[in-house]
Amino acid sequence: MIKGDKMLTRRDFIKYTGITATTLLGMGFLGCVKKEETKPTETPTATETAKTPAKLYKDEFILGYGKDHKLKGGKWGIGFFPKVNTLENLVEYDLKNDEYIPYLAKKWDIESNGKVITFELNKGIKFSDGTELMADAVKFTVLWLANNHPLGSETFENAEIVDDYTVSIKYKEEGFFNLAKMAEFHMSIMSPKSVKPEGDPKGEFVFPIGTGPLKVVDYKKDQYAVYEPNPYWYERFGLKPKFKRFTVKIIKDEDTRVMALRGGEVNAISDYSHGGSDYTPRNQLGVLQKEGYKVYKRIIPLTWIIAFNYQKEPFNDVNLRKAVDLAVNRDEVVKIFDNQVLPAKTLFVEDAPGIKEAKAQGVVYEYKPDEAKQIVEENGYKGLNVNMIVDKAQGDQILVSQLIQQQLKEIGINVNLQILETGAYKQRRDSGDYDLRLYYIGGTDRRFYMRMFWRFHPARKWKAYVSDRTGNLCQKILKEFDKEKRKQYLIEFYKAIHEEHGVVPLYFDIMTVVTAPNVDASYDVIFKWPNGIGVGEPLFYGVGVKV
Amino acid sequence: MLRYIVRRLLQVIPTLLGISFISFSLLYVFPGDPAEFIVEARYGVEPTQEMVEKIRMEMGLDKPFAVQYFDWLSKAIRGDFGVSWTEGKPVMDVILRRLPISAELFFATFAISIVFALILGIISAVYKDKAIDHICRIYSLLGISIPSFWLGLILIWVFSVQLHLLPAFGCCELKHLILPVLTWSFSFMAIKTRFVRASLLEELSRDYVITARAKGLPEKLVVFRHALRNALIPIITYFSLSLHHLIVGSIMVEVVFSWLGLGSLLVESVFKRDFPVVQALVFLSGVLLITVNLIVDILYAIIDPRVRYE
Amino acid sequence: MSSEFVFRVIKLELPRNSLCVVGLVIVLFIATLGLIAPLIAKDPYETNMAERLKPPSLEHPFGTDQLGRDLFSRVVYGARTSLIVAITISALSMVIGCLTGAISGYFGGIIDDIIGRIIDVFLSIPEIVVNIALVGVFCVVYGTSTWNIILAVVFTNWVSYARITRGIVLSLKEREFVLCAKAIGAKNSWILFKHIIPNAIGPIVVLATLNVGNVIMTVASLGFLGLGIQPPTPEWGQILNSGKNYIATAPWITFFPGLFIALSVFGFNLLGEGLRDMLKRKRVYV
Repeated sequence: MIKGDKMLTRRDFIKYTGITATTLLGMGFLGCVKKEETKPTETPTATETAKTPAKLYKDEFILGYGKDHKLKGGKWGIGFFPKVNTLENLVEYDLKNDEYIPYLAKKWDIESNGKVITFELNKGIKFSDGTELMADAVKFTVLWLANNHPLGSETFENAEIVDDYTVSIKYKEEGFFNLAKMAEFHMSIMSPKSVKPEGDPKGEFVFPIGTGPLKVVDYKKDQYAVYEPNPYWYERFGLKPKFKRFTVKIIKDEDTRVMALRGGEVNAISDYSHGGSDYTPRNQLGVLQKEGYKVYKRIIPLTWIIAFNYQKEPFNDVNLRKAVDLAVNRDEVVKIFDNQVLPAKTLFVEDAPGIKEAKAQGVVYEYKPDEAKQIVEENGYKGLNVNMIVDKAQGDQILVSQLIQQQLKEIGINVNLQILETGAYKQRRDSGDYDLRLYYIGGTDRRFYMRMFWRFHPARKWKAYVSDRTGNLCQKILKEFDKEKRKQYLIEFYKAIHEEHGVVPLYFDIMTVVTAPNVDASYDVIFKWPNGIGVGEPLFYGVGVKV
Repeated sequence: MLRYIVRRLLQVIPTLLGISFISFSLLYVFPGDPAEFIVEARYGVEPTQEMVEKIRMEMGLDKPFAVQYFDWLSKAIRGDFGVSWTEGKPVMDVILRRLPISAELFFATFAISIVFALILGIISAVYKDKAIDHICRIYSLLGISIPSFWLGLILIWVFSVQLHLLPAFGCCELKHLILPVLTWSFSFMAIKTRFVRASLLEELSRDYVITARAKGLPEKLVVFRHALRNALIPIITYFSLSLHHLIVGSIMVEVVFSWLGLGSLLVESVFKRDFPVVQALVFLSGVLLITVNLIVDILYAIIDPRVRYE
Repeated sequence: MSSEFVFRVIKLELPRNSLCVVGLVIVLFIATLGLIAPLIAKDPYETNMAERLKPPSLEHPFGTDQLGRDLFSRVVYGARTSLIVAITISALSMVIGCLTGAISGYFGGIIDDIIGRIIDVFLSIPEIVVNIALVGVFCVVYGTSTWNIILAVVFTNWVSYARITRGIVLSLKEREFVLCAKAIGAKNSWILFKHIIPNAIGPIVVLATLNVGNVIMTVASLGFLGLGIQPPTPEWGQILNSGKNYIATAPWITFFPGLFIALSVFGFNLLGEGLRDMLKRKRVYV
C-alpha cells in the first residue's frame, strides 16, 4: 500500500497542478482579451466651437459601415465615404436637369471644346486646418492625381494658376467628359498639406485635408475611422454640428451591421457610398421600419442588369438576347428585395437625362414570355445550355440569379449557375469564360457619365456592351457640351441598346441609411447639401443622437 | 527519462514535416499562377504582365517547388509565415491579433464544459444503467449530432430575436459570451462526458475498488477518494488534448456569432484567397495537436515509468 | 440456422439493442424520404414570388423560402443529396482506406512504416480545417462542383478506415489460420481476401456507419460556410445558411434543415453505437 500511496500523491500533484494551470491560463487570457477589446482611442476634441446648446445631443455619433475608409490612401486614393464627407468637388451634378452646378468653383470657362477648362473659385472657403482654398490647392490636386491616380493620369495633363482664385486645367483629351469628371469622387479637392512634403505632387500621402464637413481624427484599417466636425464648413453654411465626434465602425458582414444597429452598438448604418455592394440587406428594411427604426432611402441611377458575353456564341445572336430580355419578369425580381427597389422598365431611372423622352418613343423593357418562347423555338435554341456566373459575396445577387434561372427555364433555356467566390468570378469574367452574368451600370448621380464611359465605351475593359453603333454614340455623348444635342445622342443610345438588346436591365438600386429611433435626421439632411443640391451618397453633416 | 523524451521528439519530426508539406502544398493544388492571385488580392485589379513578374520575384515564386518549400519551412519554424496577401501585414501578426478572442471563447467553454462533463460523467457512471445514465448517454450522442451552427442560430432566435435578452453578435463582454459558450459547450461537453463516464467506469471495475468495497468503505469514499482520483489522470490528459479545438471547434461558433477569432479567420482567408494565412493556420493547428500530445505523453512518462520502456 | 433460432436471437437482442433499432428506424426514415422524394414533394427548384417567406401551412408543411420554393420539398430532396454524397464519400474512403490499411498491416516492414507515418500526419491535422482549406482552394479554380467537395472530404476521411483496418490486420496476421494458410503456400492476396477482410468487416461496418454520420455533418458544415454544394441544388447546410438572414421573419428556413441534419447524424450515430455494442457482445456470445 505504501507504494500505492506514493503514486497517489504524485498523481495528486499532477492533477492539482493541471487544474490550477488551466484555470490560471484561462483567467490570463480573459484578462488579456479585456485589454485587447478594440475601442477607438479617446481623442480630446479639438473643436470647442461646436457649442451644442444645452446638451440636446450626445457627443458621439456612431455609424456602422461595410467598407474600410482607406484613409492612408491606396491605388484609387482614399475610400468613397471620406471622399464625399471630408473633401468637396469643384462642381456637383444635377441629374434631373443634366447640369453641372457650381460648388467650390463659382464659374468656369471652356476652351477648345473642353481641352482647357478654367475654373474660378469661390472665395473664403477654408480647409479643415484653417487655410483658405485657393488655386494652388486645385493645381496641387490635379498634379497629384495625374501622378498617382489611375483616373487622374488618364485625364489630366497639367494645371496652371492664373491668379489666386483661378486655375486653368489642361486635359489630355477634349470633350464634355472633362467637365463631367470634375464632379467625380476621385476629383475632389485636397489641401497641399495632405502630403509630405507639403504640396509635392510626388509626395507621400498623410491624411486627407479637405473643405468638407468632416475632418479626419483617427483611423485603424478595417476597424474604425474617427472624424470631427470641420468648423469652417459649418461656418460657411451657417450650421452647427450635432455631434462632437463621428465614429465609423467598420463591420464587413451585412447581417452583423444590422444586428449592431439593433443592439445599440451603432446609431445608424449606411450603404457603401459607391453603391453596388456592402449595403444593408433590402429585405431587412421593411422589418426595421416596422420596429421603429427610420429608413432613409434614395433611388440612384444605378441599374442592375444581366450582361451577356455578346462577343461569342450563343449570345452574339441578337434574337437570343431579345428572348432573354422578354423572358425576365422584373416585377418578380424586385420582390426579392421586398419591393424596396424599383423594376427597371427603362435603362436608367426616369430622372436620368433622356430617359423620359426615350420612353415616350417606345424604348421600354417589357415582360413577354410567350414571345420569348416563340423566339427560342423559331431559332432552334430550345434546350440550350448556358453558364451564368455570380459573385458569391453578393447574397442578394445569388437569389436574383436563381430566380432568373427559373424564368429562363420557362422559355426553354437551361442556365447553369456558377456561384463563384469574388476572385474566381473576376477571373472568369476577365477571361470571357461565361455566357451571362449579373452586373450594374450607372452609379450614384455624380458617376452617371463616368460609368457611361466605363460600361459602354469601346476602349474600356469592363464593358457591359459595346457595338459599333452604341460605342459610337457613347463617344459622341461624352464629347458633346450642348445639353440638347447630348440628350438627342442619349436617346439614340438608349434606342440602340434597346434594339440590340445589349443588356437586360433588372431593377434600379437605392442608397439607404437606417437610423435608430433616437437619431435626429431627415431625408434632406442625408441626401442634400445645405444649399439644396441633391447627391446620391449619404451625407452626415446634420445628424445627431438625441439625448 | 531523457532518452524517452528524445525518442518521442524524433518520432514527432517526420509527422511535423508531413504536416508542413500538406499545409504548404495547398497553395499548389491548382493550376493558375499564384502570382496573379496575389496581385488581384492585393490590388483588386486585373494583373498586368509586369505586376505579375514583379510579385513573382518579390515572393520568390519563380524558384522550383522544393526550394520554395524549404524556404517556407525554414521561416515557418521561426514563426514567419510571410505576409498576408490582403492585409499586407505579417501573417503572424494577423493571427496573434485574433488569438485572444478565440482564446477567450475557448477557455470559457472549456471551463464550463469541464465542470459539467465531470458532474454528468460521474453521475452517469455511478448510477450506471439507471434512467439518469441513459439520459446522459443520449445527451452525449445528441451533443455530437446537433450541428453547432444550427443550435447557435436557434439560441439566437430564442434569446435575441424573441426575448431580446441577449445580443446576437459581438465579442467580448460577458453578455456576448453567454450564447456562444452555451452553443459550443453543448457539443464539447457531450464528448467529454462520455469519456469521463468510460474512464470512471473502468476505474470502478478494478481490483482495488472491489477491495475497498469489501473493506466496508462507504461508496462515496470509494468513488471520490479512490476511483475518481485515479480516473482523473486520463481524464485530465484527455481534456488537455482538446486544446486544438481552439482553431477547429471555434470555426462554426465564431462564424455564427461573428467573433473575430482564428476560426472565422480561416474561413475569411479561404474566401479572400489569402493563402499564406490559410497555410499558417493549417500548419499551426497540426503543430498544436502534436505539441499537446507530446507534452501529455511526457507528463504521463513522468507519472508512470512503465511508459518509458514501451 | 433454423428460423426458430433466428427468432429467438432477435427476441433476445431487440430490447438490448434498442439503440441500434431506433437508429436503424431513423436512418431508414431519412433514406426513404430521399428515395420517394419525387412522390411526396413538389419541384424544389420552382420559384413562386407570390408565396415567398410563408410560414408552415397545409400546402407548405415547412413553409416557403425567400424565392417562394416549398421548403419541405427542398429538405426532402436535400436528404437525397446529403445521403448520396455522404455514402459516396464513405464508400470511396473505405475503399482507399481499407486497402491501404490492409496492405500496410499485412506486409509490414518499410511499407508499414511509411504508410503509418502518412496516417499519423493526416490524423494530426484537424479534418475540418483541411477540408475548408481544400474546398476553398478547389472552388477558386475549378468552381464548386459536387465532385470537388467529395474529393476534398475523401482526402482526409480515408485515414480513419486505414487506421482501423491496419490495427485489425496486424492483430489477425499472427493468428493460426493465417499462419496455416501461409504454410500451405497460399498467395498473399488470397489470404487477404478470404481470411482477413471478412474478419475485419464487423468493426469496419461500425466505423462506416458512424462515418456516414460524420460526413453528413461535415458536408452540411461546409454548406453552411458557403463552401459546399451551391444553390439552387438543395442541400441542408446551404439552405440553413441562406435562412440566417431571415431568422427574424422566417425562422423555419433555418429550423427544418438543421433539424434534419441533427436527425440523420443522430440516427447514424445510434445505429453505429448499437452495432458496436452488438459486436462487443457477439464476441462474448461466440
